Amino acid sequence: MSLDSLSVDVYQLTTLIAHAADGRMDDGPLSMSFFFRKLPKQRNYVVLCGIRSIVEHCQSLRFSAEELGLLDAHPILGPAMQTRPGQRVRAALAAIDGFEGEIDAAPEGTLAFAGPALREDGTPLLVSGVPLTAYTPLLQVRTSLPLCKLIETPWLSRINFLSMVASKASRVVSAAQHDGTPRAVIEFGQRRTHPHAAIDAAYAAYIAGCSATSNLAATYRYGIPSVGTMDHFAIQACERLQTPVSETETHFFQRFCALFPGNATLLVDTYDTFRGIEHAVRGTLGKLTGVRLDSGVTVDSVKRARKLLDDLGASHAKLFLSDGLDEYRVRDLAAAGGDGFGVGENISCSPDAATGIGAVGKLVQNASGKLTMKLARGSGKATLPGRLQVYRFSDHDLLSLADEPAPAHGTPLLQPLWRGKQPVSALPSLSETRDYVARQRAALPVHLQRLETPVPGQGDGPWPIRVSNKLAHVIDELVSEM
Amino acid sequence: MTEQLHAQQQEPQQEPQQEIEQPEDFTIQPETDALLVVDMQPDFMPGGPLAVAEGDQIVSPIAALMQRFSLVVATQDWHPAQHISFASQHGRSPFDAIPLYGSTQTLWPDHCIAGTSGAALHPGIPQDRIGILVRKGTYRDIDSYSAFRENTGPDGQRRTTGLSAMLSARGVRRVFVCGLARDFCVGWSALDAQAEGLLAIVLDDLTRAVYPERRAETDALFAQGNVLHRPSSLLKGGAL
Repeated sequence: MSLDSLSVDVYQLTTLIAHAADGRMDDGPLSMSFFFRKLPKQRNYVVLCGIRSIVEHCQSLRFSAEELGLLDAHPILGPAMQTRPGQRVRAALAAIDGFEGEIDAAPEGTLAFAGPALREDGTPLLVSGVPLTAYTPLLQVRTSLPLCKLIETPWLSRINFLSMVASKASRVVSAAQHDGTPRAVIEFGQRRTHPHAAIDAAYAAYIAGCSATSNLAATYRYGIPSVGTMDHFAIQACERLQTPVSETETHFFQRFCALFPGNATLLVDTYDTFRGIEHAVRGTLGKLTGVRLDSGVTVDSVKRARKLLDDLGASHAKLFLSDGLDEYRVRDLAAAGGDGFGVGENISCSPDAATGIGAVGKLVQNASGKLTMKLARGSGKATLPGRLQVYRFSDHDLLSLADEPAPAHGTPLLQPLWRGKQPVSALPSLSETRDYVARQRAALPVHLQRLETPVPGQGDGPWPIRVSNKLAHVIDELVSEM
Repeated sequence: MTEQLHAQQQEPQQEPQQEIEQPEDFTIQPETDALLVVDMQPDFMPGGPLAVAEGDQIVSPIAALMQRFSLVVATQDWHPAQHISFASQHGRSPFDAIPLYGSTQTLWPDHCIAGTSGAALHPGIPQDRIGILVRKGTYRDIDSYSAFRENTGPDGQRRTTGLSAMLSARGVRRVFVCGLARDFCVGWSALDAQAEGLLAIVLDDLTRAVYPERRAETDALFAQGNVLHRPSSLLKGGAL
């Protein structure tokens, strides 16, 4: 029993039983929209990630008799499951055999933005005097009420976690390549997150531009290249009484390089970084691939290590750096001579924006066909009504109602992903998605490619999001009705 | 042979600055002096395939001197079996000379093949005194006489062994050079040490030559390269 289908919140089932009591189980399809309401303070964009995982969820969504039995025994749900509406929900759950409905989604890896909504003429769009926030709709779904309930949490869980990792990884990769030189970033975060999450984090990091992961399982789950260096344990384990560590270290480097020629990135900081570099070069007779520095990594120590490698005749040896790096240090160390970077928690845990990637899923059109928007008057947390399309231009997005005629230019981002019980087409390969992310990043205005976020009122602002005249009109009308 | 040594030198040395004559002080400085022990391997000793006459006679005094330096560097010739310097690889006789990479390569009998007993350090050499061990001639297609640089390679460059950087990292400014052989690996090492900005002194009594009869040629190169050569009896102090 995987429990995957039970990975929902309790309220989704209690409210579903209440809807059943209200006779809504066979209501016509409802529309939900998933989006990031705002960007975290430290992000100029979010990399959408999770579409692949959502398709997998759609394909596997079903409840076994065993799982339904668990619901019957749940202290809150159990008694209600015995009622007539509960029996109705039970039958509906038992009948689910994969997701059924329509999904339109932006492609995996799409850069998503949020910010103050602008009218087509560029003036701010206000709701009750407060600027309305606009955002890139990521995914719109039209399906039955029970399925709306069952997908919300699992899909948000996927989008929020994976987009958090992909967005952070994208920053680290662009920091490593800030001067146009390709430098590898390897995702090292497995030990900083849950083992299941770590495999998916490796995927998110890879599509965002990381070159590989240290996570072996990710290779077999997703086909991501996995690589590694060595640990201090390995070198310390060779220590012997009466033998200088210089000798045991050199011995281990020699042994390792012979076994893994071409992949011998030797960890040199176990005892003394610069002596370690000598041992790495001499122990392998210069055949090492590179050295890894994992402690006391500074601009100065990197420059010194580079010079020492060159002076030792190992100018071919790459400098691979780790040591709790984040994108800011990666940027400085790349300029100092780092050739590659291992980044762990600062990709997989995204500590500076761990909770800020707040995708939500909201009802935008109910079963009666009525467009709805959450108003939350005065809060700035109003949502956009109706099924939307978003057109990406070279310097802004344009949001319109899905049934408006397309503008002459601009790329419509929302594409059919799922119809009925099937995905519309095969998903792009990982490398296609990775290229897509890299192309979009390179096409961003320079100030949005930087690590720093724009300061309001100074210089260039966030990515502009305009709202079509027709959508603005619908919003104005809905607001006046409420 | 020494012509070849000459040809491989990098830039011509600067004229020595005229200094006020002062007595040479060969007191061993533990912080800034190193002893360089070159190729004390059985293959270079009487009975070996590339024997240097009397090469075995300097083992004991070198071993004693090693006790007095805080930093001892030792080199080992350490060749792959098909090394380019072996006459057997060219169908030629040992000691023939052939043109190679714009220089002249002397061809040798097979010697010091990595891992063989003839390539090991002589058992009389106290290995626990060795701070840095440099193995040279490890690339099949390049010979290496000097502890500091390979001979000229296919790219016309003399690739560093890294020893200069290692000595510099340890604050070494002066090296005393001994071992085998005076007109090849010892001489090249001393000249390169001087070219790398170190002060190099060859210890005449603790080295032997392949061609002792051509000593004048070697000494002329030493003079030209500002390399001193002195008897080891002038050394004073050190951790005895």
